[in-house]
Amino acid sequence: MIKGNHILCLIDDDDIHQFIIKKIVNKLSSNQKLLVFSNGEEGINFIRSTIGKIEKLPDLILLDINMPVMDGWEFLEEFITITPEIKKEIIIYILSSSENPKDKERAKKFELVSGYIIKPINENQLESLLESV
Amino acid sequence: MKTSSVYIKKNVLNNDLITIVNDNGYFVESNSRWSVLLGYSKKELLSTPYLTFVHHEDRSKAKRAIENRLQTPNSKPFIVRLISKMGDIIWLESIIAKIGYEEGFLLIAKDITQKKIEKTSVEADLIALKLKSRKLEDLFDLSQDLITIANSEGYFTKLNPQWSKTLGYTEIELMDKPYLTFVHPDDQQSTVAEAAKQLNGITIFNFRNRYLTKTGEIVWLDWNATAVDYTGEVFAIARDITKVIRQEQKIEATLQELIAKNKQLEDYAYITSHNLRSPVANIFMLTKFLEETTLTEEQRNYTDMIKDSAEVLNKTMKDLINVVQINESTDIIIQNISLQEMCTEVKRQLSVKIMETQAKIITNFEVEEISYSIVYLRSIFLNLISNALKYCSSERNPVIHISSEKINNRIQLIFKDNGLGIDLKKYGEKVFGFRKTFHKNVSAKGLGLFIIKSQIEALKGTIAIDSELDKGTKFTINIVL
Repeated sequence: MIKGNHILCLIDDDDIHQFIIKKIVNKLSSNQKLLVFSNGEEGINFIRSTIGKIEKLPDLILLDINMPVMDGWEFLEEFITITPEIKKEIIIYILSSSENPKDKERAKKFELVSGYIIKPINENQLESLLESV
Repeated sequence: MKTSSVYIKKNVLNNDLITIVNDNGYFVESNSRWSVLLGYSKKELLSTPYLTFVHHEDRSKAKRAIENRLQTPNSKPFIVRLISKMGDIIWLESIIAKIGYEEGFLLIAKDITQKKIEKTSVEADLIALKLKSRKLEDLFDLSQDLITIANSEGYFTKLNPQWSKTLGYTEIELMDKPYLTFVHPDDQQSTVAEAAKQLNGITIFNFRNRYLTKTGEIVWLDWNATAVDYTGEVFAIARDITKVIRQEQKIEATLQELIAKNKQLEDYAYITSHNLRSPVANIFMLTKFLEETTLTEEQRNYTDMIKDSAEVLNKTMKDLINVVQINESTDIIIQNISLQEMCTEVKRQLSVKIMETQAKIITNFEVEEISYSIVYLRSIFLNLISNALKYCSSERNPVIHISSEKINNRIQLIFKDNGLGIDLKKYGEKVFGFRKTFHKNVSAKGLGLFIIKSQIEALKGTIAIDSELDKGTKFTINIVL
């Protein structure tokens, strides 16, 4: 059972997928904190504005690749530039429906990306991810 | 003694032949050259009419010439042949003159035999040379190549007709300006550089430049040129390769277009599959949530069907991505694979289906190990065996024969079953087509054969099918060693 004392963050523009993740998270633990952003820019803006408040920063980010305004790759580039200022270890997983090997290769090039999960993610996967934090 | 006789005697040493011929045609007096040349003694000469010594073919000519010149004084010499005592031909160029108060006439002749002989041989040589140069000229005129001689000032001095044909200028126009004028502006610099090499005694092979026709069209020329001597005169032959270049350019353009199109298609396939997979993934999860709610039986049935449909859609997209990946064959790893082990592995994978159908798989691998992509080989075994199981006859248990054999420089891999078979007359080559299905079977997606054909061909091999309805199907795969 998830204690729910970690903060999970989803960056994905797909409303339905947002709903699904919310639903799964709720099933796992009713008090699990979840931050949802609809694109990379919203996500990075939040992190920037929260840099000093470690307790409010996410522990785990699930990042989609294809998004409007700022996509997953651009988010990662931005994230790297502010990493030294973040005094918290944030785990990032790519959560995408793209099976394009080029995307998988590209994700590998980012050291801060811990893994590549292909949608849909199920309850068990998400549970073990949260437990690993 | 008569004046003329004195004159003749005085000129004993004269190289000319001098004589006085009387009205009867006999020599009256003659200098010694006559005897020297004709080999007759003076006595013999004086006792024989002049015309007797003349070559019989030239006698009438000589007679006419003498008569003419006696009637109308004329200093123009005439040439006749005389025959010496030895039978040799002596060519004499003669003039005659009436000696006013004396009878007969004076005849002065010059021996031109030597000249005649020389001239004859020179003439023969000339004729031969003319014939030769005629051939060369024909070659020059008729050549499809452009042949030219250019001088060190950069002008054409000789051009064959092909030049005018190719460039549309007259020969005069072409010779009127430095040849560089006719070279494409972008190639003038390189042409000057090549011409300079020429003066250093380098023979140019396969220099390529562009000329412009009178109407401004580009003509591509491939050159061979040789500087003839220190004067800098250059002999050069060019071949018009415009057509070839145009074709090359066309092919290159088509190739680029195809590469771009192919890239586009690949991207298209990825994007499509990605964009389709997102909602499919959502449908999966949503139906899962739906199942967890209280549903009537009817609703539950619908949920199941939605789930099945999403699954088929998902699988199809995965296959599509596989097809795209075959074409990006950069990461194919070739390794030694045991056919027996591969067969066992696939049999294990299909064990449920094999048990259900009570299928028998008989192998006979004369060649046991092959160098191949393990991914592709697995795909071949999996697709062909599962096809054989899928399309088995309901009247008999499936028997699948798999064999390998080395034939020349290839390995033949054969999969033979006793299943339903395919009507090849009806479907023929479509068997390996994209998304072709030939059986009313729900799980037939028509991608299996298409994929393995692509995989086999990516490794330069071939696959062929032989089938008879209700007898079975045989696939023959040729793997190039």
